Amino acid sequence: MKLISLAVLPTLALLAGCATTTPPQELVSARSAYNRASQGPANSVKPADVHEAQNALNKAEQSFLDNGDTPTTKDLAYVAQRKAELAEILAQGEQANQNAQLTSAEIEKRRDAELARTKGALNAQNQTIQLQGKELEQEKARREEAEKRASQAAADLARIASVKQETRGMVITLSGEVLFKSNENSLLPGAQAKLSQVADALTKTDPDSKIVVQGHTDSQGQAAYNNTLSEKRAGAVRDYLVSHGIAADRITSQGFGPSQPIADNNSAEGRANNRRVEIVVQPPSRRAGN
Amino acid sequence: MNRLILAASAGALLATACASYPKPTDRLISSQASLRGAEEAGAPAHPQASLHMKLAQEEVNKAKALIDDGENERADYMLMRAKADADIALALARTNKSLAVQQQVQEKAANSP
Repeated sequence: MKLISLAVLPTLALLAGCATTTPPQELVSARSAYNRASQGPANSVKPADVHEAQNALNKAEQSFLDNGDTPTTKDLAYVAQRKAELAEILAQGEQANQNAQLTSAEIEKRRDAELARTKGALNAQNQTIQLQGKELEQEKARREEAEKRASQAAADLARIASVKQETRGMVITLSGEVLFKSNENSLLPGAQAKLSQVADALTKTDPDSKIVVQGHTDSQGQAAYNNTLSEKRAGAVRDYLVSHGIAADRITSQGFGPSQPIADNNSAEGRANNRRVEIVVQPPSRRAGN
Repeated sequence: MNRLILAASAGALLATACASYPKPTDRLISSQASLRGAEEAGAPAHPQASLHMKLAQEEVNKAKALIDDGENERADYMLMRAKADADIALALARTNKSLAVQQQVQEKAANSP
């Protein structure tokens, strides 16, 4: 009996010695898995899971210290290894989630900025369109008003003088007999009343239109004299119109003498027609872009 | 007589020691639940997760056999392995999805103005 005991003891001691010096492969793997997890991002991203892996590893180490390389030690080591791996996998997932969230927020931010830019541009465009619309309406109203006044002026003038629409504009023709005594350039009293009416009507024309007073004579007498006379008469009419409300910068005067007859100078009637003052209302030059 | 009592009590002690380790029913249920969770999370579609599911399933089967043999304690530890593997499978499946979403969002960001 004693002999057997003696023989068994060294074997047991040997077994125990082996167990304490050589850890099972499972424990070796668990240690390296835990080291990897605790030194990697898992340690900061999933600290609770790393801690759990540490506890599991401690249990396995304790089992190894107490009992050696037993199936239980191997099981505990296996579980510890898996828990360390789990911490790393969970950390990887968490990081992916965080990255996705950050990137989504970035996309959202960019989209908002883009939207704000588009909205701003659209608002500016709308404002421009509204402004243009207003300007167009004002311009249209202004033109309609000007046309109304012009046709009113034309109707008024038609009652007091001969009015014709020509390519050079509206031409108001006043007979020389009505305005001046023969060879004189001061206006007759009756002419003044008539010119007052003309001035009245002209104030209703488009203020942008220019007015030219043109003096004409018949062919009798010297051309130079006639030229001067027609020039002076046109000037007298112009001055009168200016003193009756026509802006001075709108209206000019010219003398043509006998150079532009409208009737035969051989008859008395023709000559009477040629002695005349024409007031030409030129339409405003077309605006750029219209 | 004394010897008989000693032997009997020693035998009884041994018997209670064996019988005292309860059947690991709770851990069996929890391991199987984790396995189902992993399956529902799409672990079978992911090679690494699928491997851990297989390991967990094998470990559950081993544990069941151990329970049948009355080795409740060994079965309990085997079920710890099963649970650990099933948890890994579930985590891999979820992380895989997170990585896919991350990639999708990053591609979207690369294409957004």
